[in-house]
Amino acid sequence: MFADTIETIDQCAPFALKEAEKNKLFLNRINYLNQHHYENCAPYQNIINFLGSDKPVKQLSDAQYLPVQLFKHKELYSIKNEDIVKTMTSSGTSGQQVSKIFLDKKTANKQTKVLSKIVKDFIGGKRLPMLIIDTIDTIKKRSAFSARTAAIRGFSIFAKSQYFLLNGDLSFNENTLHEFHSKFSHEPFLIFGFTSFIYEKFISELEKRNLNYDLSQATLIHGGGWKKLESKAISNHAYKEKLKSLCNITRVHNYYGMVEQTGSIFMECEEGRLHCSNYSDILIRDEHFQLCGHGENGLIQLLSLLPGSYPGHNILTEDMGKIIGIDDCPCGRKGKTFQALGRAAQAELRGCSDVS
Amino acid sequence: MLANTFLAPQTEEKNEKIKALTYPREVFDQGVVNFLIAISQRLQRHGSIKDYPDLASLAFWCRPANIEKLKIQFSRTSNKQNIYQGLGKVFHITPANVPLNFFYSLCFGLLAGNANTVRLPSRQSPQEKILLDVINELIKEKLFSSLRELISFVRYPSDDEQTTEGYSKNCDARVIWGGDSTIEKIRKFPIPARARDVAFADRYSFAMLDAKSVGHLNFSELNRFAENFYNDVYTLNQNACSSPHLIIWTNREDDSEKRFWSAFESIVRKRHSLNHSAAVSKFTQLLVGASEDFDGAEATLTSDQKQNHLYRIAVNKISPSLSALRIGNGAIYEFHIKQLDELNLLINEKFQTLCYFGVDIDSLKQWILKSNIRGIDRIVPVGQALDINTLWDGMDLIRQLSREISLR
Repeated sequence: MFADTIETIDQCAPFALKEAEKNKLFLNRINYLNQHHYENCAPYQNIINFLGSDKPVKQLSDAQYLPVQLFKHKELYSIKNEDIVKTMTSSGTSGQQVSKIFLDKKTANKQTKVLSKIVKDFIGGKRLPMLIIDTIDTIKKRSAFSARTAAIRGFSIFAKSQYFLLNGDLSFNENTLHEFHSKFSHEPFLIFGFTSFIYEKFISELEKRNLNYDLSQATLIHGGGWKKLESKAISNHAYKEKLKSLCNITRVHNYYGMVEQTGSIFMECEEGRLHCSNYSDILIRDEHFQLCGHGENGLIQLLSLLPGSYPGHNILTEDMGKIIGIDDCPCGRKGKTFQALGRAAQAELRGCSDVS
Repeated sequence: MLANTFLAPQTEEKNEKIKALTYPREVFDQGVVNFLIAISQRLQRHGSIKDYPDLASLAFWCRPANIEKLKIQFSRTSNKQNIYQGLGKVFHITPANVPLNFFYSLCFGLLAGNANTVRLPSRQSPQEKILLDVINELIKEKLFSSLRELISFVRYPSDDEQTTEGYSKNCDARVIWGGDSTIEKIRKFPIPARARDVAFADRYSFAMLDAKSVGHLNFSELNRFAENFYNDVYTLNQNACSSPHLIIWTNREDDSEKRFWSAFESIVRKRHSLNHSAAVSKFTQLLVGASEDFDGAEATLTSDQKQNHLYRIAVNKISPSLSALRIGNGAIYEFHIKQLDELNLLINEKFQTLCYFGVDIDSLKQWILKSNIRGIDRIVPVGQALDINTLWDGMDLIRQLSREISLR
């Protein structure tokens, strides 16, 4: 068994480790997780045997990854049934199969702790009033644990108090905004929500209603992807510009992450780069899964040190991206930085049953 | 009705009552045949045909010689005395996975003597546009004016059930492409009592190659053979129901098989382009199989793992559930047999096309006659897997879409 290096990593600030040092600790934990899942998840073991990748690796890029779609087809977990405390699902658009992610107490706790560590590096250690661009119903339904539910629940640990801006039917509630503004606008506070929700239910509503709230004390954090905004062709830059001109919000952080690797999210820094923390890493691969050089566009492969209850520690996504640099971001945080470029273009249709 | 694309002029209800109907017609009606030939000729002169191999083969398909062949094929099996006439109106629900499939469906309906309403896939492919432009141009010509009532194209979202229901209510036959799930959805909408459904369910296709015969090929023959097989597998990215997913090798000869693969791989490298999204989905499907241990078979990935063009998975055991593990985008299972009987338990009703090379046809025939298998509807030489015919899926589509008037 490999020495589990997670505790050593836990002792460091989340963006403190430099390449060489991080690699050593990271590789150890990945090898540890490889073996752990190999021993405890039969379908994973079958895959690894079939691919002949059952040996410890000396380089991160040699470690076997699973395509993220696989979690839509197979239920994969490395724990006993009775230890599953939470099952999370991806936010698949209607009609699509959704990913199922199984968590035990240990992994769930780990996710919460690491998320907190990463986000605090951007917003500071104090809990803040939080305006959530969503409806309270999203977190009420206990049965359906969607990506949105998970994200709001996850980020609620930074909240001193929570206000939900949207009504049950996802319509804009100006009274809530007014109340929140009059109570908290003079102190630092948080705005949180899905990227598309903030655009469609917040920015667009402020524009439409011609509302002028000064929200300059806000730090706005959003994630969930740009896919739903594709038709509107809105860039990250334009998104930020609108928030600034409409209500004077200048601290805007997009985050990149997926339900398969909850917790170890990638935050966009003040320089507009997405950052790997000590708990995550990224590789970029071409269509033959060969490594791309820095600056080259390719498929995003994500590594996370957290998944112990399911083999999602090394996944190949369907998203395109490119590496910007390592340990060289002007914001001062160490680690790899990258840009996410959205879903890889789907040129073809899938199978005979496609009559759409 | 909510249909938003009517390309051919619609029958005006008022006139319908006064004017005599122009359908149903006799099967292989000369006007229809001339029209299809005109499409072929117009396409072959079209500048962009070389960019779309499927459009080129469509033009080739409705050339005079082939239509004549189909006609002979029909009349050879017909009763000379009887009359063969269309049913009336045919409603076609066509698939998106094969962009030009809608046209072949239309041709079957036309050649069988019917008027046709063809629901097009919601996304238009460039090939489709070229073809529709050609059809629209031709139909405006006076020569083909009598065909106007026979062809109408519609495009509407697949969840627009009202429209589907409306067309279903008013047809004499309904042709459903798109596999099991589409059939299930469409069958919710009743068709008139006398009407019939012609449904194309999910199918699985494979190849049978004789290694010894492959070994006898000289270099250029081998290349041509590999090229043919490439077309079968890669032309529609294994998306068609007749695209092979499995090779059954007879007369095992490792060296000959190796020789074949090396020729095949070099063609794949030259001709195939793979995008990121297809690569991920292909890898996913491979691992779905691997995670299930390929249903207990000892499976080996024999292709070069540094590329995603071609996956070859050799299995030492084979079961019907393997046919559910289709990967697509260029992935082939391989299995060796000594006798055809070894396949008896494999072949179920899902099996459609068998493309063969070097296999003795008589023993194949004997085996099918004696083995009581429910699958395999088409047996064609390698290179013809995707060649569509009026005999398809075990049915004579001209007969399915027409009626036979017995005359004594």
